[in-house]
Amino acid sequence: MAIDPLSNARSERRWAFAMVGAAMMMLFAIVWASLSPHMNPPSNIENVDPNTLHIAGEFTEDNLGTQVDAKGRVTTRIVTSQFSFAPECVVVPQDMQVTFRFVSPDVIHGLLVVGTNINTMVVPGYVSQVHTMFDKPGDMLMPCHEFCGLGHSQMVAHVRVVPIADFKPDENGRVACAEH
Amino acid sequence: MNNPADTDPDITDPTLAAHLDEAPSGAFALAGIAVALLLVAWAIIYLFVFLPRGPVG
Amino acid sequence: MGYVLTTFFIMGFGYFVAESALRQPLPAPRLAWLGFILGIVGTVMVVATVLTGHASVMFTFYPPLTASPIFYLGLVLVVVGSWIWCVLMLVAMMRWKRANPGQPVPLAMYATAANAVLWLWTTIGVAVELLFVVIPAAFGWTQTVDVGLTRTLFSWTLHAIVYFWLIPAYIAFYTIAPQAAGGRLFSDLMARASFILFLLCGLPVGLHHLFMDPEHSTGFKSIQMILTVLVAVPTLLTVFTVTASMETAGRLRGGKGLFGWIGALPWERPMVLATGLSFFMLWFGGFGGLINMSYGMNAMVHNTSWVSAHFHMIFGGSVVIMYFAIAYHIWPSLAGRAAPSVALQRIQLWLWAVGMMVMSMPWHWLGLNGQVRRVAQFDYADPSMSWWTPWMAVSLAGGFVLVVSAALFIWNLVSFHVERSAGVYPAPVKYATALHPDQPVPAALNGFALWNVFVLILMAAAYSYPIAQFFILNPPQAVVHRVDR
Repeated sequence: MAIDPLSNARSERRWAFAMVGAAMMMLFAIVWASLSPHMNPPSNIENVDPNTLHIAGEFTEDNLGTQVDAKGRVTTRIVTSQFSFAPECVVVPQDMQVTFRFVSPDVIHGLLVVGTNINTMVVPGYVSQVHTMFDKPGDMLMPCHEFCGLGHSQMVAHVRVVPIADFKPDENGRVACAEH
Repeated sequence: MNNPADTDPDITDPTLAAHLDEAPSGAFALAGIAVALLLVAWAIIYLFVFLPRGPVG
Repeated sequence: MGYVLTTFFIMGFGYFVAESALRQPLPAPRLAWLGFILGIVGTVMVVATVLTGHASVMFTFYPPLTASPIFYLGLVLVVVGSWIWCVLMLVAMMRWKRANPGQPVPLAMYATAANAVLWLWTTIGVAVELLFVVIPAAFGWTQTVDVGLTRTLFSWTLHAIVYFWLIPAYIAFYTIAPQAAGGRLFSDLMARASFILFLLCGLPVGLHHLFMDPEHSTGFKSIQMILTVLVAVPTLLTVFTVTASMETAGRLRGGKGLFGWIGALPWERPMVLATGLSFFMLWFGGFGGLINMSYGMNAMVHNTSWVSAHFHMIFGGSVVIMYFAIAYHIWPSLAGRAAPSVALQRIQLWLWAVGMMVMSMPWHWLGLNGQVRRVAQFDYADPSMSWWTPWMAVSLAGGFVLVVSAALFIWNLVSFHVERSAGVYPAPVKYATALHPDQPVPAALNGFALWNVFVLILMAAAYSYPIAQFFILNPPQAVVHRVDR
């Protein structure tokens, strides 16, 4: 008695449908997260010249760190370079929308904030922008996560999340770690 | 296509038919469990790590 | 390591398959030796520049970091050597088809040729990056680099390259393991379809390595994310077809019931043992990979130890353990004598799997908790990092086990040649027979012409604008940072 040569094709077709179905379920969950609670990778294609960003414009030394603008929007600007963050500590308010903007004047860097979904590459030539909201106060580690040269392991910063009551901008709207 | 030299002379069609009446139920069971656990593990990370870490973009 | 171990292994195994599965001599063996020598010379150039501190840019280059030009030229030689291999594989297959008109190409050779086609497509990205951007900068002919462009070109290569490394393991799953276990390949057609799916879906997905990059839009990232979900499918198909093949073996050996066939398998044979261990590690590697590719979820783990863990599980674990098993499987016919000790081979495989698990499991957990990768040392005095210490010690212990296993592997191969007592002349390597050997193979699954057209269309859809944007938008460039002086 020979076995039915089509039976294995049938079982494999059943299995293939099940697997495509499983993949589609994951795809659905990912797409839902990206559309509904807006959990997307940071992707603003915004250019900045790495050779002049320290001389004029948004990323000069005075503008770095956390700043609250006239409309009350919180923006934190950080320059990542071999082998440090400027500034190395930033303060942000709890339960408020915060926008981080990172640039690099030299080579590729990257960063994450431990325990959050904040994660971006910092590519020279581009502004990397991440919107987020922190729901717990505390000091969080923000290490450089992309190899940027031999001093890479020393490149670490901190994000300090404080309750809104303790988040007190000065007359220029600026908030620094020293006062907190 | 099979090179005749590769074919094992001991395995004949009647031998296959006699032994494989239950196949591939075992593969369905084993691979099915493995993939089901994979989906569960993925869903655990999605629900209990990813979503609580909050929106970004 | 990633480039050298894999490229040489894949070339050697490909030549072996071309001779043993087709049963015809290799076309132009002198060219094959030329490819080998180019690879050796290139490797020496790369290793020399790295060890003398002139190429601390890692194997992903990271321009505008720029190393000594000798480093990049060495890599080019390795790649050119592998291109010679690709051409020889395709010529060997075409010669066989001409001599056997209308016959399906043996599966092992078809899959090897699929890998050669994949590799030719894959290397285009890195070749363009090296030749037109990185090497001119390394020689000092240009002073600036478009970083977004180099990252995008490298991403073209970056994902498909791992399929180039992976496919030999899958060739063993489909064409060697079922035979070694005493069973049959469940389905020859499904195997061919899986290799074609790797060719189609392995390439247009490289942007998933750039999910966290600022130079690409959510639109193209999403397109490549969807294609990446599809690339999980051939692996999920393989899991079933190979498990079903092993089931035929277990049942032919008297295994009964839903799971009885598992115990009936001949686990004392290294190829069977390695396949089992490989599948076990594939679960963890696949799990890590599913999280990585899940778009927004990538933010939890991008550039952390999680990625290192995923890579070590799937490549260092699942794939390399099959390289070992393949070496053990073909060495008797190369050396002309049976293995002096199969027990030592089993011990080596077990040590490898255990060492890899012990080393990589802590990385998953640490990576999820923010431990970044590619770091020389951590500040363990920092309270947020001090709890990592014991886990790192566990990981290190796993690493030592791997060193022992690697040394034992080398000894196991050397022992074929030193121990005079070795046994009888072994039979030539056999490949698995399909359950239904006479099933007709459609012409599409016996060649690559059609699939190359599809690859071209997919790559055009996935990569044309992401690459063209750098010429349309003309982003500011970064100044070259030399690390070699």
